[in-house]
Amino acid sequence: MNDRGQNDPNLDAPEKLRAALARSQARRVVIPPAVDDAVLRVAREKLAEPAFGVLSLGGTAEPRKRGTTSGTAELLAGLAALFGGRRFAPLTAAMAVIVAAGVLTWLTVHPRAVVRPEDLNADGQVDMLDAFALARELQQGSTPRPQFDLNGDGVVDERDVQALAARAVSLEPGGHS
Amino acid sequence: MVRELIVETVAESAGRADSPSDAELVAAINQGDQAAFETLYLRHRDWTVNLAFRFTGDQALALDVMQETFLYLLRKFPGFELRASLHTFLYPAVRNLSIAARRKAGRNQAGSDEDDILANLPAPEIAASGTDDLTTVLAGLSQDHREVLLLRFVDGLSLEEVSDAMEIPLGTVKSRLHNALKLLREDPRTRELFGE
Repeated sequence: MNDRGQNDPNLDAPEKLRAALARSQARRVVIPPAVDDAVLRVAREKLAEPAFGVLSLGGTAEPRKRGTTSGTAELLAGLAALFGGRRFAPLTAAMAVIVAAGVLTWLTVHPRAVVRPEDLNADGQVDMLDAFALARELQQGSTPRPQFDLNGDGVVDERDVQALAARAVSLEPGGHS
Repeated sequence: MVRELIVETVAESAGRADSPSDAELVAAINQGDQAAFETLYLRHRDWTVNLAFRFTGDQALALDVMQETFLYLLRKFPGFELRASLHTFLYPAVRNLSIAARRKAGRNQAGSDEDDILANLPAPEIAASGTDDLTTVLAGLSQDHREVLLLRFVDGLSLEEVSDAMEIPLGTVKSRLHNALKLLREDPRTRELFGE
């Protein structure tokens, strides 16, 4: 193996020096459990987004993408049976193919069809844009949806905007800074 | 309880070949595996926070940088590919986030551009252990020389990984390492560490 200088004595350090260097860096920053919890909480939320695959109990990853080959075949067969008459079978089959292709294409390019309630603009993330959108809705006097009562006080108002904004910029649950 | 067990398990595995590997964990995270991310986080958080402390000299800033670094990593998923060691990926992020944190904290008195901030980085090991000869000599090295030395012999990166992490040519890594070792070897306070 070409060590490319790894074993060059001029670029190596004796064990005594290595040990001393390690000791010189031995001071460790203590990581409070709350910091661990905050990072892992954000990670859990992020990894639960629809863009990721779904892990089965056995640990095997299954893509969340819709439309497998066998599923497509089953869908086409179903559509053909639904529309099928013997006389128009070729035509209905062709129509079924077109319709199914359209549906599958739409499902493929819209993988985030399921969004969280506070994801106001349905872009797959809860961030400041959602807080802005809620603020705009309130300013325009439209009746906000009850799920935006984020602080649970029974009223959707500017305090919910503040809660949404805080959630977007912090490491608290739901935050995506 | 489970968290403590994981921490202990990760700590016990330090120094041994990691299993599963970082690449395997990254592949699992790409599929949404939360436990894989937790394992990767627990495996690398201490290195990350201590590197951040080297750059910031401040525990609170180091913790902030560590969190930001892992959020930055998280944003790379899905679709993240590990082409080298994770440390070579994390290093520039920690470095840049540390510079930004120091700039934001207003602790850089000499200027606001990156070179100024890097030139005025603290020598945290001095504050940590006071009068130790090696730490005094290390503090006298330039930030660039000190960082190459520590990445190579404390963090255990190969020369190529140091090159990737610091985004400098391999020849520059060798040159800095050679000069740093030469300075330590010639300094009477650290000469004995070379068995001379």
